[in-house]
Amino acid sequence: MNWLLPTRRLIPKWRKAKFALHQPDMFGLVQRGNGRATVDSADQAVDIALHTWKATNSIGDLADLLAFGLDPRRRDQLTGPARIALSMPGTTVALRLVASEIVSGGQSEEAVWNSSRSARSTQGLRALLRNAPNDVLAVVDLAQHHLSHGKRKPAYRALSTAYQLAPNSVHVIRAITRFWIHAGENERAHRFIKSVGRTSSDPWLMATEIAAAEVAGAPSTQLRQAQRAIAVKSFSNSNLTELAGAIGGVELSNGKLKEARKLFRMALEHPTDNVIAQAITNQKFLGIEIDEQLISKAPTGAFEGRTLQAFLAADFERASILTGSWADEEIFSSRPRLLQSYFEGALGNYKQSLEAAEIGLSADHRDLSLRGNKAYALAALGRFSEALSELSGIQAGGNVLASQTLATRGMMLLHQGRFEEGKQSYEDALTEFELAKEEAQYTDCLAFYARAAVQSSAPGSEEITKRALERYKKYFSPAAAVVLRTVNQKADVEKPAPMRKLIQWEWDKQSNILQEKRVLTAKGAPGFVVLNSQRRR
Amino acid sequence: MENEFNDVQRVEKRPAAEDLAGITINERFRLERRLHLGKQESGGNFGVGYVATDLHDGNQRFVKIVDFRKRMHALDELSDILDWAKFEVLMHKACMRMSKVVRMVAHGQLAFLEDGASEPYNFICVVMELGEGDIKNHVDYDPNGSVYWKLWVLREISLAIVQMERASLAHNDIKPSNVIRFGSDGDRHNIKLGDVGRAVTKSGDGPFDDWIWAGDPRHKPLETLYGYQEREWQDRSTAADAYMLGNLAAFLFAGASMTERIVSSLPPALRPGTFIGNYRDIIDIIRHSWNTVLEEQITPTFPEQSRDELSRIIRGLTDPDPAIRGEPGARKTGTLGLDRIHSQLERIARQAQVTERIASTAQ
Repeated sequence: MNWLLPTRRLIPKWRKAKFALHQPDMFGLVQRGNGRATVDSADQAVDIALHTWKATNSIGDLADLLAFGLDPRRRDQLTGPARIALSMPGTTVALRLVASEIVSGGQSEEAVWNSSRSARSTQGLRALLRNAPNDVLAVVDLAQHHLSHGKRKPAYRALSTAYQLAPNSVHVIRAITRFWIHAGENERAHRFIKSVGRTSSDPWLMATEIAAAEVAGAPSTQLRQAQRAIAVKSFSNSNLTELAGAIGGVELSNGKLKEARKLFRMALEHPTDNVIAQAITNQKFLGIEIDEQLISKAPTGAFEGRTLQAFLAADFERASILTGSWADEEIFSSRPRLLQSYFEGALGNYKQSLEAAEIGLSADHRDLSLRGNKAYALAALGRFSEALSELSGIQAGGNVLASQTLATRGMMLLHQGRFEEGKQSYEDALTEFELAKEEAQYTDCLAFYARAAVQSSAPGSEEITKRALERYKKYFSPAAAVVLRTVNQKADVEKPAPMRKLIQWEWDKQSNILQEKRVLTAKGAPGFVVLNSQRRR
Repeated sequence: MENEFNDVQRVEKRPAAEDLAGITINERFRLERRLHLGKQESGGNFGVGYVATDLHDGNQRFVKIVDFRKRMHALDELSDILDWAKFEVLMHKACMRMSKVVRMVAHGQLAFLEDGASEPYNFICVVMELGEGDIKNHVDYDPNGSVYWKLWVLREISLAIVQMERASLAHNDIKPSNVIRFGSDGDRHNIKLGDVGRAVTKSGDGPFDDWIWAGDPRHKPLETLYGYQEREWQDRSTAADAYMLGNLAAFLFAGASMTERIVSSLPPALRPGTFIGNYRDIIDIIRHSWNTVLEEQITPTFPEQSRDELSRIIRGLTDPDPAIRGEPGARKTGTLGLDRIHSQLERIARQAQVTERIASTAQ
């Protein structure tokens, strides 16, 4: 089993259209509204349509009447006829959806974007594109589907088409950058985003350029301009979120913690899932508590952020469910599946772990960490020859994941009853982790070792378990906690060090006013305070 | 114009616009009965409609009475009503020779002079040919029902648009209640487009030419919902008619307005009235919604035999981008190509007719 997760940078997310639609990064600087949607219809026109339908009782008149559902103010008036339409036999799908929209509201949006059959498969997307080859969102989604099957060339072709169709689309530009990073061509990603004319004027693209430059190890062309933009507030705070996060990431890697903290505070004012995940990853350095209140400020989903939060709390059941949702958003990415297979493996759900690893590998067969997780799951399921073949595959890739391979081999040998060899293999793995000063992985490895020893009834398993528990108490690791619990050991989750909050609720007892305050609190401050009015005055 | 009249009738007490049944206008049009709520086939919203008998030939007519004097207290409104009524008559005159637009028979003023009054109280009257009703109560959504009629309706309306386009006019209020059925010879259904009162003119002289949209909001082209207008008249006005023809197909086959389906499929922040940006900024999102709605909700209701071709036509007609809307081949030559679409619809309708005949013979 491995715990190799790359250092997180604020590279752009590339979600499927139906998820991206609710995220600000899809639109760049395009201003979306926040009022109530209105399409005005005249009272008299509705009365006439209603009267006509009552007089004729025909389905055509009913369909004509229900089209007024376009105007949300008419819904109460139309609920009765809509219910009749729903109960009628022989109505069409569209007419039923119109009626459902009126009766319950929001149904159609769900139908088109969430329940769309077409957007779910390559075949469906191809059908959409056969009819409308200029449907950019379908082209970008198709690229994701290709990539999720490891087909990079068709994915690239699709993205190139999308770029030709919509060269100014922030969604397309960010998707292409993400594609190159996914393909491991970081320099190409940076070259591309650098060359886009719009990059210098859009904060979402500036943020992408800064992150891409960091990944590529190249100097950013936008960093200075972006710092100026933030200093003089050239854009609204909601558009600066990823930009502040990206610069914050750079400052963090330069060791300027104070500056980074300031920028992340700004980024978290209108957070995106990406910024939240970044802040959680760097929570130790930033000292800002990312709690549910803050996460709920992000647009719907925030699955990556919530996954990491559940991971840190050693709640792997929840973390696994969340990785599933995260993987749905970015089907091409092996990272959520890597985490999911790891979480399930730690929980002892080897079948689920194997399944997640296999899905992840279909997107990126070169991901050795995923192969490591697959080998572990196979070994745990007693499919030793398949596990060995996976391990050989990893070894063929060079001297990577050597310690993890040793550990998995150790587990396999223990389960085969070859206790001494198994123990030796595990001890070798532990030595490797120690030499590499990978403290957390050492703790995890020891916990996995203890579980394998207990489950295989290896001699001295109590002693190994004791060692694992002692190690766990010294160096906390969420995964070790979960693994030790599976062999009935008490492994409490360490309470994190007190951190600062960005949101605090204040309740004025006398005036009975509850208000949200956005300040950086002192370390360990409560999320809710009761104000004394006198003191306030 | 010879059919223009000014009929002044002496009465003890002036009847209201709603109580004119039994009266004969200009010794020619005997008002038989009032149509419901003021709205009737081809009438528009601001008049009272009557079925009348033309005493010259015994034919039934539709008479629209506009009581503009009722609005005397609101001068702005009065002026608008007079302008619109005048414009409607003007449009009917312009469309007089169009076979697929409901024809005006006569127009003029009907006035009542009460005993002892110095000034008569007058109504504006427009007399039109009377159809058998609009298509709404004739349509059904039975998958085994006749598709020939539906396709023929589309063929007829496409011809009406072509005829208006040739006169540099665009109807801009094509909707099911304005598509009127006339007597058919059993084989060829006679369908006409009514209510030209909201038409726009290329010359820019019409009262609605400066409006972004004067027609029914349920059938609005997508761009007008967001207040977006193309510069070229053709891309603005004829393209709107093209969209509404496509929307009519959605009504005939799927029982829904595409405009309603697409708007309801958008997240609230992007819906018209809420979204404050430019239409073109979100056209990719609207296109994806439009494409999915068509693929999953509208196209499956098209007749299997001509589904692909009809789907291609409707996609061309309703494209979210008004600058490329129409027949793709014709667009390259600078027109919307509605004449080509008319021919294609006629061919598809004929094919459906043959198929239906064979099926009925086999039974």
